[in-house]
Amino acid sequence: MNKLITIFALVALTGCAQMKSWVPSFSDTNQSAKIIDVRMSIDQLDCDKPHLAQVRQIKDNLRWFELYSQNAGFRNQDVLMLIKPMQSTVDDFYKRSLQDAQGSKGYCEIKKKLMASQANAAAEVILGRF
Amino acid sequence: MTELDQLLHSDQDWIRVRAETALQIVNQRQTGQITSDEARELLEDLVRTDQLEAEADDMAMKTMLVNVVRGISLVV
Repeated sequence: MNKLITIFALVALTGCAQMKSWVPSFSDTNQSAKIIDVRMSIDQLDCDKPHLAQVRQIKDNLRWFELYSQNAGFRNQDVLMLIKPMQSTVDDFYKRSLQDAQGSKGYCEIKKKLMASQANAAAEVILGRF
Repeated sequence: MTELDQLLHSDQDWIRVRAETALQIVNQRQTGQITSDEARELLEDLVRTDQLEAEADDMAMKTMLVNVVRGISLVV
């Protein structure tokens, strides 16, 4: 009997670990809305205007998404991993915008294109969840 | 640059788009529109974009798998 219980527990525990690794986070209205806010703030970025306030808006939206996801349950690790590269991209832009001479217009335009591509890929998968 | 030229003529859209962006960075650096530091950062962002899309593909596959399992469970 003890052997049976041990085998059952082993199977159940390994099964759970496996399940956890392949079950994605579920659809979340707040995450869906915030990732579109991120897209919107990138879309509205005007490289002819001062960058700092505009980049802070993008950075804050991503930070909100991160903090919310951290408290939304253990299964949200996948979305946290998903937005990490985008956060690095935006952080570098923000740091450069803090300097006396902000990034060049050419830099801003390519940065915008890359951020838009990242946010679009993230939004598609976040809104497409079950 | 020959390798970049090959990528520019790739059949796959995402490869072509990446190559076009890389070329845009190189061209803007050569014409002095962006600094070498800015160019390095943007090339790093190109790699980050690939990392993000790999994560997104992984999540999309997992979502598809859950949908398939759910569909089967309704039939069985």
